[in-house]
Amino acid sequence: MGLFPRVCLFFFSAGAFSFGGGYAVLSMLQREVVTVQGWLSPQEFVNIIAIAEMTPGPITVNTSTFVGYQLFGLLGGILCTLCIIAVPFSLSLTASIFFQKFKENRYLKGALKGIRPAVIGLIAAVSISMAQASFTDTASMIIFVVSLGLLWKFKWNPILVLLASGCCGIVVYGVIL
Amino acid sequence: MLPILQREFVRNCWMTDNECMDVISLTTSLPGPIVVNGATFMGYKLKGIPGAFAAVAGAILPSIVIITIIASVFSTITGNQYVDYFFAGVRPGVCALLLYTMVRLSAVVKLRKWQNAALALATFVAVGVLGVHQIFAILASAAIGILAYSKNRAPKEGDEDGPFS
Repeated sequence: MGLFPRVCLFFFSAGAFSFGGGYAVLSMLQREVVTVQGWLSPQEFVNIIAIAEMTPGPITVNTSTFVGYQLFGLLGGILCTLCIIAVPFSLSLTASIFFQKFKENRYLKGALKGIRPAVIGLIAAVSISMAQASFTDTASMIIFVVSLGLLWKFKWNPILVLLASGCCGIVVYGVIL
Repeated sequence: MLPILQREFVRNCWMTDNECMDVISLTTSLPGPIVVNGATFMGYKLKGIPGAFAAVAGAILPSIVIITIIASVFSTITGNQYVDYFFAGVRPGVCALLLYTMVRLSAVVKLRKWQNAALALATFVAVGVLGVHQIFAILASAAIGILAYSKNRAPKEGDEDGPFS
């Protein structure tokens, strides 16, 4: 299979299982990055996550557009995004039309009760290799702790925190070191 | 995002608050971004199937435009030293964000209940260590949820939501 159909198929299936705020998608994307070498380096992967987090819009859509563009240009970005929202859109549309039936479905409720804790495990799994790509020296650890403090204690907006950590990077690596 | 969505729903769809709650719960239950699911619902309610398409197109268009612009200049700027320094700083920031997200989700998902914690840990080990595919992990956790939930047809006192709530 060529790269383009393969990538589209990936986003299509990722979208179908994109529970838990897009983080399941990140986990799946990371898997593709690792197994299908040549897509992205581990650091490029984290960079893309950062951009997807910093820009408005769902992280899922931002990631698919970015990766699609990087690999296949403008049309690629659009098509990959359409692939990732294909199943969610179809399901939501079906649910809108047959609202009553979906609303009380106890299988859906039960399924979610299992999926939600699992997503936390998925995020943890992504974090491990992201940490490997991110923690290269003491400075990066310090930036990590500072960012955590800004998020946790000071309740900063995540976008601001990422911008701040980036600026810290410029200051620390560019000026101090 | 959620409060804004809720306000827009009520304002534009003349839905009752209860209906609103149901739609919100469905949009967060189905896979996909809340924005996409929410736009689909609202678009359909207002203008039927074409409305749903239009709403979703509108929802994703800004992201596509912004990201395409960023991506198009990305390769030219990543050569720059200071941009590299910026991302070297951003990467630990992303890790912090992930950790924070996990902590917040743990509170919502009630990780203190051993069943939830066990499921999270099992998923982490399966996917992160053993290399199990995420889709399989999600299907398995969904199946476990369905089994656990359906078994508790007559819940005990104080545990009405079942073991995995």
